[in-house]
Amino acid sequence: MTTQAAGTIDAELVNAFMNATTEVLGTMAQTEVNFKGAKAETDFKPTGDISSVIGITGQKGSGVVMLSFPINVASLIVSRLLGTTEAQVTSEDRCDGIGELANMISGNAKTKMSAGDEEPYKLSLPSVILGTGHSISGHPNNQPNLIMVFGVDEEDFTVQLCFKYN
Amino acid sequence: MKILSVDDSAIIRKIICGCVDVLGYDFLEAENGQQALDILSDQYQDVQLILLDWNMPVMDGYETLTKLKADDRFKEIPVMMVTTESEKTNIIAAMKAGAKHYVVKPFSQEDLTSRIVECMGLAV
Repeated sequence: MTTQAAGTIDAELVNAFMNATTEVLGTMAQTEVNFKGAKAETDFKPTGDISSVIGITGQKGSGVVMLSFPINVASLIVSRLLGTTEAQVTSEDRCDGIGELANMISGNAKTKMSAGDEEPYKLSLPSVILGTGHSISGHPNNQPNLIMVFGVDEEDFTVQLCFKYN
Repeated sequence: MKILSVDDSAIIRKIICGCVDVLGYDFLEAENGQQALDILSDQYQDVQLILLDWNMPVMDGYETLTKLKADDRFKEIPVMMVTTESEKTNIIAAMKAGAKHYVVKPFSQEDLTSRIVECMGLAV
């Protein structure tokens, strides 16, 4: 059993989400995303106009994953998921698509993270929050929080992990 | 003839609808297992394949699968799980419960269409 230093997230978890994000968007939306970097933050704040949040629980601990997109990036990705134009993407499509992306990315990552564990990680159903400047409440403060930044066609979106180890 | 997609995500149902269209089948959709059972009660004789998600509100995919296989009206309809659940224990549980195929999300439309063709024993 490994001991996790307070205020950090282990590399296995970061790699799992980094690879899952690239894989899911590449396969489902035929979209190449570039990992641009990661930074530690104390606040768990959305960075975009539309965010999807999903809970994850396992043997090692539990946490929250948040995907956050500018509205135009969300429209672009959802249009590619559906094989339509951005103009044809409705608000409902955007919300549902961003929620499903959180589900697929977290599902893909949890498989990578669960390797060797007796009990696989479990996910909650995703929630989607919409609106410029929206915020998330109820987040456990002072827990490790990592923001990963990805680039798509000159624009960025983020995947944030807040994870509390047991 | 019809293919039924059971998934709480409208986006996934739309993507699957695209695959079904290509194959020339009619498309039915349900947001959860209970809704799927309700639809099947009326239309089971026309349904050739069920694509079933695992994690859904109201009634999840595994419970739905066990109910389908326990009902004489529905048990012969092939079921393909289409889900993010990719742990070996889940795959084994679904196959033991009677699923014919298991597809893990993410998938490309081409791959899913091929799996549908394979599952239904259609000529390519």
